[in-house]
Parts: sequence; C-alpha cells; structure tokens
Amino acid sequence: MMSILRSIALWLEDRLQITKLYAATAGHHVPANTNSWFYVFGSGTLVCLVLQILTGICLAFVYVPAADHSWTTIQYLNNEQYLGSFLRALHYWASNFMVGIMTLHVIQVFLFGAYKYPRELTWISGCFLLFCTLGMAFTGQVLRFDQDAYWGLGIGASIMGRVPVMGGQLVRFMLAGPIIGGGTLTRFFSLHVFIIPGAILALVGLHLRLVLTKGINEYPKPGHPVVKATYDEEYEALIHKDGVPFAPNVIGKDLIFGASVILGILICALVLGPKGPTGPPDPTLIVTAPKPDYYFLPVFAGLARNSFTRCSAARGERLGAGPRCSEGQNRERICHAPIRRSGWASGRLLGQRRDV
Amino acid sequence: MAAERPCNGCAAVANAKSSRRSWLFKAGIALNAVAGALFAVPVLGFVLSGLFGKNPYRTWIGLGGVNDFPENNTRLATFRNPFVNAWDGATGDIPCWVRRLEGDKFQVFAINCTHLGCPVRWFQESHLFMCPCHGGVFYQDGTRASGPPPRGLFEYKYKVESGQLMINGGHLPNLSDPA
Repeated sequence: MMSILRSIALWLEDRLQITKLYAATAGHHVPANTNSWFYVFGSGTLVCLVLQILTGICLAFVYVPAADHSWTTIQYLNNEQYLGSFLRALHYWASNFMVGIMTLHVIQVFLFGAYKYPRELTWISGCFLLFCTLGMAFTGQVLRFDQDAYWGLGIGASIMGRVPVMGGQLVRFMLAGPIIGGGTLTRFFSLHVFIIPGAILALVGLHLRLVLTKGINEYPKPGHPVVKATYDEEYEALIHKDGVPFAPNVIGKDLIFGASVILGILICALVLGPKGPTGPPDPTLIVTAPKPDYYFLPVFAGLARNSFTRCSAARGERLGAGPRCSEGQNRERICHAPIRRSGWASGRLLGQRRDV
Repeated sequence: MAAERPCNGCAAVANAKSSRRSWLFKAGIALNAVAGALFAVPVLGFVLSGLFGKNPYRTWIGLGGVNDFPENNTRLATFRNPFVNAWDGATGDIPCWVRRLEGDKFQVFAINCTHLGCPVRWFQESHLFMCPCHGGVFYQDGTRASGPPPRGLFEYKYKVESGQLMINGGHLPNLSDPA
C-alpha cells in the first residue's frame, strides 16, 4: 500500500515539482530574528482574506443585488436560511478583524522601517492592498442596502458633487443614474465581488512575490540604519550565516496566530452576531441618523469640520449660535469654524436612532 | 563531425528566417494593439456612458393638489421619481419639504442637506430644518443658519397647473447639479 502511495507521490512530484516549489516559497530562508510575534500580522490578514472569500461565496449563493430585493434577501439570510445569520456574522467579523490586523501590520512595518530599501515596492503594494481592503469595507456596507447604506451612498454622491467641473457627471457615474437605485447597487456589487477582489488577489500575488525576491526585513537594531550601498551584501550574509527556512522554523507563530484569528472571528460571530440590516432603503423614512461602520467613523466625524464655508454676514447673526464671519484674504466673507454648539445640539437632538 | 561541415547558405537562411520571425512578431504585436483598441471602445463606452453630457434627468413632477398643503405650513411630500427602473423598489420614492406661504406661493426644498446629502428634518417648534449627520441647520426659508453646509437647502423650481403643484426635478441634488 505504502509503495503504491509512494509511487503516486513520485509520479506527481515528477510532473508538478512540488519540492522545488516548496523550497522556493514556504521553505525560503529568512533571518532567524524574524521569528517574533511582531511578524505575524501579515499572515493574519491573509487568513482573514481567505475567510472573506469563502464566506462571501456562500452569501452570494443567496444574496440578490437588486434594490427591490436585496434587503429582503438579507432578512431571509438572517431569519430563514440555515446558518445564514452565522455566515453573515462571520463575513462581518472577518472584515473587522481584517481591517484591524491589517492596521497593526501597517504600524509594525512602519515602526520597523521595513518600507526602506530594498522593499519600497512591497510597502507600496501593501498600501494599495490597504486602500482595496477599505474599498471592500465600504462597498460591503453598501451591499447591506439598508438605511445606513442608502444615506452613505448619498454622502458619497455629495462628496463627488463637490468635484469642480466634472462633479455632476461623477455623481451620475457613481450612482449609475439620476438617483440612488438598482443601478447603484449592481455597480457596488460588481466592485465588491469582481473588481476589488480581483485587484486584491493580483496585489497579494505581487506582495508575496516581493517578500520572496527581496526577503523579509531583519529585526531592526538601534544604531544600524539601512545603508543602500551595503545593505544587500549584509542581508545576504545574514541569511547565509543566520538564516532559517520560514517553514517549518518560523511559521509556527504564524500558524498559532492564524488559528487564534479564526477562533476569535468564530467567537465574535457566535456571541455578537451579524450587523444589521437597519431599516429598509426607503428614502421617505427620514427619521434616521445615518452612521458608517466603525472604520469610517473618524472620516465621517472629520467631515463636520468644514471651516472655510462661505456664508453671508447678515445671515450669520440671525440665529443666536450663528457662524462668526470675517473678511478672508480674497475679501469674501468666510465662516471660521462652524458654530459647534448648535451643530452639536442638533446632532444630539436628531442622533437618537430610530431604526424602522 | 557534422557540425564542422561547412554549410553553404545556412547563415543566409537563418537570417531570412530570423527577419521573417521578427516581422511576424512585430506584426503580431501591432495587430493585437489594433484588436485590443477596437475591443476597448465598446467596453469603455459601456462603462463610462454616464460620464459625459449634461444632466438629462429633469422633468415636471406632480406633488398633489395645492390644497393638500395648508398656508404658512411646511409639510413632507413624496413623489415617485419618473426616471426609475422596474427593480428600483422603494429607492424611487423621493421625499421633499413643501412650504406654502400663501395662495400659489410655495418653496419646495430637497430632502438632502447641502453638506453631505443626509435627510434634513423640519422642526415646527423652532421653525428650523436640522440635519442628523453633522448638525447643519437651515431657516424655514431654506437659507443656511449654521453648521458645515456651504449653502442653503436645494430648492426645486415649481409651478401650479390646474390646482396641482408641480416641481422640476428627477435627480439627486448635489452642489454641482442642484435641484
């Protein structure tokens, strides 16, 4: 029996050359001092990506990207589809973990100076991966197609509308029509399911290729800056003298972290469940206080600061808490910071959320 | 040895083959560039079709009888956007604020805050429109009172025909393309 299996393995090996592939990828040598818990966040993000692909495919079995049905199909997923609610929760929590762990990865890479020569392109491709992941997060919350998604699209369209000259066209392009509707949803569905994931897979390929060609940065030492003229030789010598194969020597911590991430996502999904949907995407239900998912909250809050809003001086004084105006350099009346008290008060007044 | 035997004309044949291959390679690249460009025209045209031209989505829309709106009052009205697809569902139902001053004098405001498009709400007690997102406030005549909005509320053009209030709209109002 063993000899049959062995001959099958050798036959496959002769054709697929797995051992060579393994030696060039998982078995490549890395500096021994990279065997540290600081180096696990990249593979943790990759684990999240795999979970997102798997759970996303499952959700796509049921979800209908049509403005008049998507909210209903999410209700169906939540209440009737076997394990539908749990799969939605897994997809949501894996996205949260992915953004969170990716942020840790970026911070670690930045603090360790791993963006420096010769790994600039690794850093740049990673930055594009971060933008793509945030793009997935935004388009994902649009696919929930509830009140928050509807008004979130309105906010996106309003931002587009501020672009000079092309603003109106960009709004119609983004919405795929005159208003937020079925065309808008299918556009964001394509982005979420085809376009951005395709870009992510290509960028992950490039990112990992660069990890293999340019290596992983050694644990930084104070007083040892990266000197372009000598770095390649030093790194080569370090790998030669003190290099260990990534698998099985270093991969252990990544495996443990990856498994912890999966378990963490499972626990969060089980205990905290999926997010939303809030009320149906009916713009006539105006008693709502739109709010994005947490990763966009700082941007959403920051947008309140519109400190160079033009205003008319006379109007500024009519309300007790009206804006203070003064002469700008271009001799237009310019509002300094909008009055926070009234803004804060009305925000508080309207902020009590009433999901329908 | 066969390799050492002189080969009359071998180099010339090889050169001819090489130049033919190089021509085929160049011709292949050129043909693919042409084919790729011809393929890209309809694909890009399809994707970018909404990006050019003026806003074609504007028409007169009925909001109901004039008497549905009491004088000196501001009320929420809704209309079905005429430019909808069959699969748009409730997203095609658009709200707006109708303020009737007296007789046939009206002001019809878009629901969208001029800051970032969130739905403004009318507060009868204070005679103010307020936005839940970033605290934009507008007076009853739609002018900006405070907060980050850069201008007053978007106001639809209106007319009264045979006792019916009509507004000119059909698209999501924004700073580049107001109501």
